[in-house]
Amino acid sequence: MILVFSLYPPFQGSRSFIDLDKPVYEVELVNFPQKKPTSKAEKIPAKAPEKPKADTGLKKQVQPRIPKAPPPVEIAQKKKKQPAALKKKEDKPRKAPSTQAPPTPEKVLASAMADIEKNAQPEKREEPETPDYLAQALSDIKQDVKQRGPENPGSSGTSTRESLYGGLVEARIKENWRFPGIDDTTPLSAKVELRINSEGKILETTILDSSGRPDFDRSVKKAIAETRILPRPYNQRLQKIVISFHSQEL
Amino acid sequence: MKKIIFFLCTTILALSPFLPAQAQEAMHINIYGPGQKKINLLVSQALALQESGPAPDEVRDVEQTLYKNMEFLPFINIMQPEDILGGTELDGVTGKDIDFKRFALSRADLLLTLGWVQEGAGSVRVELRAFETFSGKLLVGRGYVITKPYQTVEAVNRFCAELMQKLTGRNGFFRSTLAFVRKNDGHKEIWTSTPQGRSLKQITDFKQYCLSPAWNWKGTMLAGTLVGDKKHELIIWSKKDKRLRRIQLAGNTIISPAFHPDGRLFISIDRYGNPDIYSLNAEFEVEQTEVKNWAIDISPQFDRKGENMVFVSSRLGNPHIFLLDLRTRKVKRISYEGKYNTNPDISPDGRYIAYSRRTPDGHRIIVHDLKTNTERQVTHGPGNDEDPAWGPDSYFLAFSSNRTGEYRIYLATRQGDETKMIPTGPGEATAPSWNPAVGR
Repeated sequence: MILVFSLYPPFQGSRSFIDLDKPVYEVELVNFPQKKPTSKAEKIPAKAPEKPKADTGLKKQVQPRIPKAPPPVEIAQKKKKQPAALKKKEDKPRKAPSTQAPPTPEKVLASAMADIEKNAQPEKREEPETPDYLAQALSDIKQDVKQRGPENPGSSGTSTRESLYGGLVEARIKENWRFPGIDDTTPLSAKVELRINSEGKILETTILDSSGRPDFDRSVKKAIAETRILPRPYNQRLQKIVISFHSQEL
Repeated sequence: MKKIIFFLCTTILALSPFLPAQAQEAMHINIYGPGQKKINLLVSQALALQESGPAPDEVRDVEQTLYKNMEFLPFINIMQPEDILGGTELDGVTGKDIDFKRFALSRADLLLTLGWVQEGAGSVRVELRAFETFSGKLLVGRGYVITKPYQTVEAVNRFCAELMQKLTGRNGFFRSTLAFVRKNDGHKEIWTSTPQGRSLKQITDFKQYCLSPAWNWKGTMLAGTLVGDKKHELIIWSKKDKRLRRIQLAGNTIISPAFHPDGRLFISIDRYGNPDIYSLNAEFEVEQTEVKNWAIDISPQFDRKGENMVFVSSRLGNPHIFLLDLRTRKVKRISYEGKYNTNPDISPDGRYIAYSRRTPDGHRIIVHDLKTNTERQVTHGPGNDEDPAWGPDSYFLAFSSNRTGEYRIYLATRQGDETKMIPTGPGEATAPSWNPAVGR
C-alpha cells in the first residue's frame, strides 16, 4: 500500500484530475477595449433603444453563465432607429423593476435557471439529443425531402438517413450564410469540402472550386465557420462533406 | 517456418497504423441561395485620433449621414450597440488596433470605423474605414478634410458610393440626382434632390403646372411639359447656365418627353389630332415620326444603348406596354395582364421594363425581365404606386405613391425589397426621373 502511494502521489507535479463525465466547453478569447480615463468624444451613437423587458436585474445575474451570443428573436424585434433620435432616452439610468427586498441566492439561482431554460437555443451542444427531439427533427426533414421529390439534388445516395442528414446539414449552414442579394443576374457557385469528426465538429474547410468572387467565397467560409458543429453523423465513417453553394434559389 | 510466420506477423503489426481501418465516406450537398440576403453592419463609435475636446458637429453630422445612408440599402442590416460583445468602443480605427473576433462572434459582417482630428478652427479631418470582420480585410478607407457644412454629406456619399461599389459592383445610388414634380400653393414645379432626399432645389417657378421631368443622358439638361392655359409647351432647363427655355410645338398637347442617348428628344404630340411619338433635332424641331398609329402612343423611354424604346399604346383598346426595336422597327408587346398598363421605363442595361398596372387593389409596379420573359410585382401599396423610374444601376426604382394619403416619392428595388420614402419636403411629389449620369 505504501509502495503504491509512493509511486502515485496525489499532488505530484502539475498533474490534475480530469472528470471525463463532465462536458467540455470550448470558448473564444476576445479582447475588450480598454476604458479610457478622459471622455474625448461624447458617446454619440450609444443611443440604443431601451430593452423592452424589465428583467434586467435577472439578466445581470445570468450574464456570467450565458455566453453573450445575440438571441435571434431579440435582434429581429429591434427596430432600425437612428442613434440621435434615441439619445435623450438613453440618458436615463435603468431602474430596478421593483422595490421589494433583495431576493435570496436560492431564488436568484432558480430564476436564472428558469431564464436559461427559456432562452436556451435548440442547437446548444450541451443539450442531449433525446429520442423525442431527434424524432421530431427527422420527421421535419422527411417532410422536406418528400416535398422536394426524388430528383432532389441535395441527396446523393438512395439512403433515407443520408438524405435526412444532408437536409439537416443544409439547414444548419444555410441559416448562417449571409450574402447581399443585389445581383441576381450573375449566378455564382463555390464548392467546399468539410472534414468532420464523429461528433459533427467541423475540423477543416477547403475550397475545391472558387466562385471567382472573393467576397462570395468568404461568405461561404464564414457561414461554415459560424456553424462550427454539425449534427452528429448518422454513420461513423462519414468524415467528409462536399457542399456546393449557389447564389440563386432554385 | 516459425521465423517466417513471426516476421510476417510483426510486419503486419508494424504497418497496421498506416493502413486505413475503414473506407472514409463523403456526401455531397447543394445549398441554393443564402439564408439571409442582408449582411450585418455595425458603425462603431467615433474616435478622436488625438487628444482633443468633445467631438465637433461635423463628426456628429458624418455619423448621422452614415447611418441614414446605410438605412437606404435593402441588403444592409444595421446592428445595435448592445448586439456586440463588449460594445462598440474601439482602441483604434485601423485594422491592427481592432480585435475583429468579437465582432465576428457577434455576427457582424462589416465594421465601419470613424476617426477624427480637429485641424484648426473650422477644419476637421475625418477618416472612414470599412472592414470585413471575418477576414479583417479593409474594404474601403478614405480620409476627408471638412471645412464647410455641405462637404459632410459629400464626403459620406463618396465613401458610401465606394463601399457600395465594393460590395455590389454598383455605385450610382449615392452619386446621382432625382428630378420630380412637387405641388405647392396649387402649382406644380420641377425640383431636384439626391435619392436620399438631400440638396433640394427648385428648378422651375412658372406658378403653373410643370410636369414630366426627363434628364438627358449626360445629366446636363432637363426637359418637361408646361401646361399652359390654351396649350402645352416644352420646357428645357440647362444645368450649365441654369437657363430655362419655353418651346411651342405643333398640336395642343405635349406628353412625356424623353431623351435618346444620342441627344435627340422624343416626345408625344398630337400634331394631327392624335398623340404620336416624334423625335426632335438639336434645335427641338420635329424631325421624324417614330410611332404613328390610329391609337394613342405616348411615354417613350430608352435604354443606355438606345437600341430599344418602350412606350404605351392603346392600339389594342386598352393601354398596354410595347417595345420598339429602333433598328428593325419591330414592335413587341410586353404587358398581357390587366387592362391598364402605363408609365413604362426601361432599365439602363436594357434588361428590365418597369411599369404601372392597375389592379383591383390599386396601381402596382411591375418589373418585366426581357431575358426570361417573366414579370414580378415589386410594390404592394396600399393606395396607388405609379411612375417608376430606374436608377443608373438598374437596381433601384423610384416611384410615386399615395400610400400615406398624399403622393410621395419612394424607393424600391427590382427584387421587391422593402420600400423607403425619400423626403422631398412639403407638398405632394410625383413623376420621379433619375439622372442616368453618375456623379453629375
